[in-house]
Amino acid sequence: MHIPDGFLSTPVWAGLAAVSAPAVGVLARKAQSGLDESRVPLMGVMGAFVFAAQMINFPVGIGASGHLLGGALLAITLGPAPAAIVLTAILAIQALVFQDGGLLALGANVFNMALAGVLAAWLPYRLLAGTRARRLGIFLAGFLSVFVSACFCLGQLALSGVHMPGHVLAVAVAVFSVTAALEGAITVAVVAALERVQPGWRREAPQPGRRLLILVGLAAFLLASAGFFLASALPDGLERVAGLVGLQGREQTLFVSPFPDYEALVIANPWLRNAAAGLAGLLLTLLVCLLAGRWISRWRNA
Amino acid sequence: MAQRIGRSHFVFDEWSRLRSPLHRLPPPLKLLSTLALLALTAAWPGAWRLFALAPVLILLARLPLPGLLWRAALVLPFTLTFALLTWWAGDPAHALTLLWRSYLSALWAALLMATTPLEDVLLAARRFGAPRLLVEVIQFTWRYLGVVAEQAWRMRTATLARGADRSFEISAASLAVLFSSSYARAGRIHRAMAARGAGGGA
Repeated sequence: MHIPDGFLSTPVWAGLAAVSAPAVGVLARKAQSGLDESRVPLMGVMGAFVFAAQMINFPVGIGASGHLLGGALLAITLGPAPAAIVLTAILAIQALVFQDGGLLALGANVFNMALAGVLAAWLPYRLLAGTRARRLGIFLAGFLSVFVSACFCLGQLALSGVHMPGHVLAVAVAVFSVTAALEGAITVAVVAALERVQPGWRREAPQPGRRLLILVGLAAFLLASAGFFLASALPDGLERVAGLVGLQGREQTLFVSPFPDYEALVIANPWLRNAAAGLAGLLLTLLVCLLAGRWISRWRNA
Repeated sequence: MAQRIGRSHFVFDEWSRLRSPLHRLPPPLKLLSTLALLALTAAWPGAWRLFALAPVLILLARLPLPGLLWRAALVLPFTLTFALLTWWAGDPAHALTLLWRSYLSALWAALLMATTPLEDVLLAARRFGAPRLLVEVIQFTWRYLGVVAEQAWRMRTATLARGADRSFEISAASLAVLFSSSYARAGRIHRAMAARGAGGGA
């Protein structure tokens, strides 16, 4: 799902662009360092491959068919940083040339598919690649890359004031699950076929010591994305909890704001408040994951 | 769903090489003003008035008006779905806003691409700080899009000509072959570039 322009409110698209642009910059440097020049043509041709792969149909019973979306396959074959760059390039071409996704919304789409999607694919694969459950890891990579992207997409739309009736939301989640399971199955089948066609391309298995770290990261990431989705789809939920705990009347005295005017502006605009709360929560969660990861790795090395 | 990537996908390549006052403007200026128009369209509740500006710009650029209007309509399937859902949720005013906002935004993006070749847009993005690696990957992807897509279509035709059933395994095997042949193609491209002196000591 590529979000077109005109759907996201200004704080949402601007905030996500402000997150995605530096992230892509860092990943581009990471993808380039330590790799030879031959990587650039490879990444470009792989981008073209993902476009072309859409022309090969995978039948799924009763006349329906799907096609590869490619995020997980790229993350498994190229590694996470190059995969994120290739997907960003694909999204840019789709936005510029094919009117598939907006230019202002590019930051949001890159965040959903190239950053969150690739991370959601890479963590389970990395976790299970060296074990007997490798195929499960590949399936989960395909499944989560699609499912997490779709949840973020819906969450951002809800933050921007695109409201959906509750039962529609349930149907949407069911449809996403089917699409995501199909992507998982296609990724497993293609990787298996690839190992028959070209044995020896497989990337090395992870060191066992880092498995716990990856597991914690995966759990934190999934919790964060699910929390983001729920918090934004049900924006009143947080307030209801605050009301139950009895915080409702005391908020003003609890927090003495250094910017009273700004505070008033934010509180007066519910969508601005929701967007700010969602983004702040997201950043906070990522920060916590990062710090927890650092701490665990230091603790394990000690 | 299988759709051949063909001439209609590359129509901007022809349009962007026409001559007009709009085509002659510097690409960084056009990129910035497109982004400004998009931001204005996204934030200003009265931005539907800009619908009067769009045809003027299109005609000034000597572009076919129906062609460009049709191109921007590519955004409508997504928009219509969510507009209907919003309508259903009891907010018809917001549904209408979604419709005109996204269509007008798609029109601005199409206008940029119809008056500026992709390589100039990318060069402008590079000047505004887009990473070099990303720009190069976009250029390679765009260059080989038609080539790999044509190969995928030939493979599809060949598979059907051999009387293969439509099956999950055959599709997966086709993709695996396409993947490894793309991998090999990338290696050949790199060697050809190196032979012509690209990269070198960089």
